[in-house]
Amino acid sequence: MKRSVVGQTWRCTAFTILAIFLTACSEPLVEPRAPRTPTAVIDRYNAIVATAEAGEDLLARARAYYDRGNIWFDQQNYTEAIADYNRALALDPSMSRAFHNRGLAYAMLKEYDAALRDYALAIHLDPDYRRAYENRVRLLEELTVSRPDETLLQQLADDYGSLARLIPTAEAPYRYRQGLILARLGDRTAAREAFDAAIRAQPHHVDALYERALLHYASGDLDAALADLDAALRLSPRAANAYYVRGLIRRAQGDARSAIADFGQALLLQPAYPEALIARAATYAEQGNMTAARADLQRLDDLQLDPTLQQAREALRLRIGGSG
Amino acid sequence: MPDRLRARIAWFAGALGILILGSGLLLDSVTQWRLHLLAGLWLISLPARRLIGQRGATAHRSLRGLMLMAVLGFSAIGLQLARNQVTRSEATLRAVAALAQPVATEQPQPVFPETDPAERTSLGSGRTFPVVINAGARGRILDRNGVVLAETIDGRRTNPALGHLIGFQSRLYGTTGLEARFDAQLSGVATLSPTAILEARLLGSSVEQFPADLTLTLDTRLQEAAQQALGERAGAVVLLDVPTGAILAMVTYPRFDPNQLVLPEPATQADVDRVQAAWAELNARSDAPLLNRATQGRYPPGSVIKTLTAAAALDSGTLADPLAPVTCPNLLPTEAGAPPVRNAVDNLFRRTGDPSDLVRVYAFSCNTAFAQIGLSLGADRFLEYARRFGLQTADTRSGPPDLRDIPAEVGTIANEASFLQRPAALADTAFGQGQALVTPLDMAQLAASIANEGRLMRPYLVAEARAGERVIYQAQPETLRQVVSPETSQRMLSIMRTSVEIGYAQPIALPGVSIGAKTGTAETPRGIPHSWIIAVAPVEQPRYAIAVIVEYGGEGSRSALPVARQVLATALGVTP
Repeated sequence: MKRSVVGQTWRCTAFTILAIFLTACSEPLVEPRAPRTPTAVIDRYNAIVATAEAGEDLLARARAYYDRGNIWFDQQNYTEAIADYNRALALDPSMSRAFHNRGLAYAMLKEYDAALRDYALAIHLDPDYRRAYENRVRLLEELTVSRPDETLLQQLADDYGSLARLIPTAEAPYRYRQGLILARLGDRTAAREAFDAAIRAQPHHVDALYERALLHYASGDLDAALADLDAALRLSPRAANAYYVRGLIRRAQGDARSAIADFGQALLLQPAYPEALIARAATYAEQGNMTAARADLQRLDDLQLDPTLQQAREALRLRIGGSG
Repeated sequence: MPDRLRARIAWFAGALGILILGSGLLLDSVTQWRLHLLAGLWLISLPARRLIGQRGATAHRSLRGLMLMAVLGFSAIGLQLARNQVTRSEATLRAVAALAQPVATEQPQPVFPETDPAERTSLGSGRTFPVVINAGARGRILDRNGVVLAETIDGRRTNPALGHLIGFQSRLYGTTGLEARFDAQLSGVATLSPTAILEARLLGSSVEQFPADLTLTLDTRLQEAAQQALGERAGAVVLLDVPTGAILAMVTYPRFDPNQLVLPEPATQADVDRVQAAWAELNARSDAPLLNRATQGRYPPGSVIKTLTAAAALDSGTLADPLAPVTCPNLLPTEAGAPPVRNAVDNLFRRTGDPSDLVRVYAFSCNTAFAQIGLSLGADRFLEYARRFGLQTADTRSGPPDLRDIPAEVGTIANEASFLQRPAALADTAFGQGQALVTPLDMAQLAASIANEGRLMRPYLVAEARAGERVIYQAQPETLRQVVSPETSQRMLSIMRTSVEIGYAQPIALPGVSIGAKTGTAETPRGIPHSWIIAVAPVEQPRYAIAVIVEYGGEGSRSALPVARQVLATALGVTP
């Protein structure tokens, strides 16, 4: 009896230890990120720098500083990294990679203007320096969210264009992004050329088709806009916003019936779609179908609207005489 | 239990353990996987323990048990590693690839997440453009003849005298009056096309906005005459166009300058302080300058309510005709315990005659006669007529006021309908006391409906809103209801005219024009009564209906009557 109790206790303890051991093993055993350079490595690079300083070869000395800068960078000591890149560049001002890496270090320190200056110098020295473009694009994308400066946006559009040239397999997405930025800048012609290029590179690029349709619509070429939207909708028949825009274009063409059908399809796919509701109500009102217009207006009251849509709703309300 | 059966159970448990372990490898949940791992290993340990045997010394058995635990433990680690390699294969591959790839020689291809186009529910970047509506631009406000009443000059509205009607646009205190009610037209939002706004939002195009000018029904000439006649006495004047209900003049005093509540753009702290001080001062004043007395001031009606009582009596047949006999005793007991109804002056029957008729008791405002008429009408019928004329009871008040263009109050004939069921209360209310509280606009409407063949029209202040050549708002005269028959209307006009010819309203007479009127003296707790008058002119073809109140102005004929006379003289083009 006593032996049995001791045995059970022993087994329970063993299983508990096993369970704790397994819990410790539950963390991923393979990290996707490469391990940081061990701090001790820097000593080796200090030695290399010391050796290079003792020699006469300025380029070798610059290379030693650059390499140690990279180690500092890898250890996230960006200030030391910048100091070494400075030393390297003082010895060899043609080191595009040192400019690039210094730019990256400045970006990590949130000194964005300095980062952009260094990226520009790196690209000036090496116009096909893809990584410099990629990192500058990443920084510009981040900056233009809070600082929609025209110069920055134009730079971003140009960089997308350069990346599309440098990476032929990614031409379509980069051209598409370039088109979006150019459209945002109001350069419709250049934006359309960018979307054209994106569609040439990838004929099924539905986003480029849609955005090009908007450009056609804005410039008054309603037939071209419809053609692009039709093509986009053949590929993406569940895209509610494409139906909505097609409805607006058909309404502008005077085809109220088709417009109402398109707005209806958009609402079928996305029932809480205030723009489609307002557009359909306005079209109904123009057709004299006030009952249907008021029904849509009433549905709008249940939706959260931003200030622009609130104004559109009020304009609609005044037009169809709804209460409110 | 036979050993053979125990062996079978152990082997079965082992097989089950392998199954549990195997199925655990397919699970996403780490917790469930661990449970499977523990349960599976324990089950596998059962046949294993049988294999290593139970015999031998304790030390040997313990050593074999430890070996078994070690084997099972390493199996657990191996299984856990194997599972990690499967579930995190992508990360592993990336890590291995990174290890294999030489640094800075070859770059990976950029990865753009792609979705099957057929699965897409939205296309494009989804960006929208903010649509800017110019809030600064604002239409003008004109009188019926095109005289500019208000326009924006350097962000300020002109003509402070019309503050009660036009209102103000204050960033601190909101928008009021016509500025609020017709904001969409004045700002031009009413001219915006909803689809144009949607297009602008989608494409970044501009929207066209046309601020509209408001044309009021007011006549500056009459407005100024009313303003001048009332002077700086607290009160109100309302002049209506009888056939349409259009408001030709609406004056209230005290007034305020709405510009003192408007912040300049940009505003300094000193500007904010100045506006806040002005607002505080306006609210603190005991004479309530922010109140539009013409539409929001509620006063006891005094004897002008006798017009309603008389019209109800004739229209309902309670009195067969204006000459039906009515008495005007000095005192009229109504119910036990209640004070009897008295006339304002003793022996009034000497003026009205005894017996008298409706025409004469109206002209000399005999309280006891109208108390009797009220009692003859009965509470229900009296209340019904009061409601027809737009007066309600406070407990059943419902619906918006008739005037919709600017804020207005609804007049009440009593606090509760049941109040009128008491004879004394009904008698008092019928001649102008009791609980009735009416606005000057209510009384102007009463006079106008009598003058308009018994039709009560909706009063309105804004005739149209026009954006360039485009009319975006057009008021249409609207009959609210037929309150009395045209025949009653004619009889009442005749009675009102006689009141001017022989009665207390005599001083309102103007040369060459027939006027019908009724004065009123409304008792107040302060002792000095409010002075009232309602009048219509010309009686033959009524065009104007007016109501005037002068707060604490004494008898109706003393203060309110001269104001009404001056305004009517201006309207009719007569020299008083």
